[in-house]
Amino acid sequence: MTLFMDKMKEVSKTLFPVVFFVLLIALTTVSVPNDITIRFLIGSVILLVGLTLFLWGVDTAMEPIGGYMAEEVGSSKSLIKLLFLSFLLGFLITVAEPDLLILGNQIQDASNQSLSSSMIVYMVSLGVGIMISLGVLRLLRGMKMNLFMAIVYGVILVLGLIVSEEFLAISFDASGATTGALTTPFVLALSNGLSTFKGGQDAEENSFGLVGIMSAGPILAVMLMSILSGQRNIQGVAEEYVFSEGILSPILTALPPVILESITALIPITVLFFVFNAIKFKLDKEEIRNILIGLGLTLLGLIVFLTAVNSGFMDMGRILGMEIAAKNTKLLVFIGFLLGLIIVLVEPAVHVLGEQIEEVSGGSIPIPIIRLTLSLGVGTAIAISMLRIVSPDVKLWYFLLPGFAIAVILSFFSDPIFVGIAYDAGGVASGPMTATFVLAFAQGAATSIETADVLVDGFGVIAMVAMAPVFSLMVLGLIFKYRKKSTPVEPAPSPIEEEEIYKPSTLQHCLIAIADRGFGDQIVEVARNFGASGATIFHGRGYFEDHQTKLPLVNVEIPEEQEIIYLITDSKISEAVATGLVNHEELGQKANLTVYITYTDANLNNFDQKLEK
Amino acid sequence: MSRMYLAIVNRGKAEVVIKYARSVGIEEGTVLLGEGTVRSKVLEPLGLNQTQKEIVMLPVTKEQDQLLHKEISKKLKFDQRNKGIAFSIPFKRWTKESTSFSLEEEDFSSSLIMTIVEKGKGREIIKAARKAKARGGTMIHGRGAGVPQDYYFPIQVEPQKDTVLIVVQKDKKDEVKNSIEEMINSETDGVVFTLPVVATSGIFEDRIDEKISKIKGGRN
Repeated sequence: MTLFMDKMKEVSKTLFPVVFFVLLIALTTVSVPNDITIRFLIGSVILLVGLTLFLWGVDTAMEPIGGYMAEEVGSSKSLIKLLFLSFLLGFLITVAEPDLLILGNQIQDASNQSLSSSMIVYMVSLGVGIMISLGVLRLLRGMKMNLFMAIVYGVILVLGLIVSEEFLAISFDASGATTGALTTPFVLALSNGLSTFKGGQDAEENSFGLVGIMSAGPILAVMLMSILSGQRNIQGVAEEYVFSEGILSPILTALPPVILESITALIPITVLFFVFNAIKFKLDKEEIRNILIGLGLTLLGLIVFLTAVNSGFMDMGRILGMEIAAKNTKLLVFIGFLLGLIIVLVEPAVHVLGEQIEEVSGGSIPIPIIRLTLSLGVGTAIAISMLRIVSPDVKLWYFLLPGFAIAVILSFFSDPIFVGIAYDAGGVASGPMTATFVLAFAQGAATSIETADVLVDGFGVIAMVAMAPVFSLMVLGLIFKYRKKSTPVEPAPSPIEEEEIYKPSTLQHCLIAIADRGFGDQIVEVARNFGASGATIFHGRGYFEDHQTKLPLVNVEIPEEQEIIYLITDSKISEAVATGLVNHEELGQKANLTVYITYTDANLNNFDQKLEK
Repeated sequence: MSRMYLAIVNRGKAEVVIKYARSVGIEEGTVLLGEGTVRSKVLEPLGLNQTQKEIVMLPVTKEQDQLLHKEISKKLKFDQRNKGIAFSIPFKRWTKESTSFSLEEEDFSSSLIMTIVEKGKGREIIKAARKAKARGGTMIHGRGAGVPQDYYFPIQVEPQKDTVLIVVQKDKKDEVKNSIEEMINSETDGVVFTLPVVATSGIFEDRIDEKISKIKGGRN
């Protein structure tokens, strides 16, 4: 099975519940015109293909590009270059984001032309650029994520109390709009690349968080603009929504603008990569070809995905919202919750984040649990948004600011790796699916309810979707930390009977040391003191019979994170190295170290010289 | 515990192996994430033939090892293509009481060739090995030990490495190894070493099956 099939399978698993659920409602509860239903079905099929291609492209192109860029940024010899380079990355990827321009136009209309859309786009991009460079600085200086975000959200909270409720909603929506389908995977890859490059004990927790930091940029930018321009209220009314008719023609009309948008969004990353490749990376032909193929797949996937969402899902979302709201408001809240549960899993960036978590934690953080938590968060967020539309007494800020405030407090008690993941999850969950399908659902509902204002209630939905996962994942991090602590210590391994004498036939031995995560470098250090030279370290996950950690309720086993160290040593010293390792006091007590030894035919005589190079 | 049982399986199947291992009393196990390759005329030239794998490592006794080879092969259908493979390396667990290293003499039917090269070169190693008619390889991303570097922020740079695992029969070991060494010497830096393999499943059996089906096909 190739990566394509793997991804196709994974995407269809998350898409199937959405299709099934939407069809169920469309066929039983409300009446939906046939052409919209058929278009939804066709849309689902092309969405499956598009998302698969896109994720495949992200794997082959975005991740290596992010990695190379990260290396370039991290190896800066001056602070100015480091800050400028990371600012440039953040600014360029945001300024080309199509969703941001759309939002800019909406704000321009709503503010009665006093805020121009191009100014909004530039200000927000500026905000993202600054936040990315601060985020990179944080990562490299080793400042704690929870502290950094506490300061950032402290500022947001203060500004949030000054701006009007409308602008509170708009500013959080702007953050959702900037973390689009393309930017999020790229920034995730950048963050991961930086932390693997930097290495060290907190490499794992540092792999996440940059998306979260980046999404604070637009919030700050829009809030500051509102305060500085004195703009408080939103005016105007939403445009009359026209449902498209027919089956094929809406898909074809959706195509050209989507092609244009996708190309625009992909240009900055592509250009930056090739400029840097010409000056610095100088990759060989094959790697460039692979990246080009990957970029092609990304573009094709993005176009197909967005076409499917825009033509097949928007109308469906809108009509479901309208019909259900007209029928029964309680049902609206409930269906909103269920829809939120499943729709978030189709977001492209959620797949990318899941893969990265798996990769970084060596598979020890179970992805289904992360998905479940995300789902619960987003489901609740959409239910609350529906409640807000149904009843004018329920205000956005009841949830938004306290939600973030509690999340910030929880971040100090949560497992460190979850802090980064949680902040990232906000940007990750509010992707193109939310911006189209969910938003259309909410706006549709608002048209059917008299007290609701389509424009005002429409803003803020994305904000809720961006907040709730941060909250829910922090809680998961808390549970994780608590469970991890309760793990009993492994009893000492029983001595093993000496085995028959074997005549050594080789010059080198291979030692494999398996220990808890974070001790790899120390083990290599100890081994070096006993004369060993090079080592290779892998990340993995370990299962122990006598101390299993299980998450409550779902009863899923959480394997321990481990490091596996391969050492090649001269046969003369290998016994000394092995003994030195197992007798090391600190490693013996804390690291759960086990050492295995075997023969190897490393008949490379210049082995040591090679390693020293 | 004198052997390390290694199974290379598709993503998500490691739990199946662990679960079975527990049921026969194996108390520890480690899982690594890796990348395998699929043979495909269409995808291979494009470099798009990778597939995600998991590598399960279980310290076992000889008896447990034999049981695992038999049962896991059946459970995960190793006799079919691209389902997975397993092999065992003789190992000694080093404890505080251990004094001298030795292994019981065993029949090394095959070899595991491990190649460690800089990141991004792993696939070329697999290509080089295929030239010498190895069936395929699995790649694990690892890192070297930290090296302090003098950038603006004093960073411990951890050089990223690709490690390629290739299992070959004993008689083909030298040929494959030479092919890899040639490639390393001409293009990049790296280390090759081999570990003895005492038992395999899912690796050479299907070749026999292929031969049989060819013979059958010929008769038809």
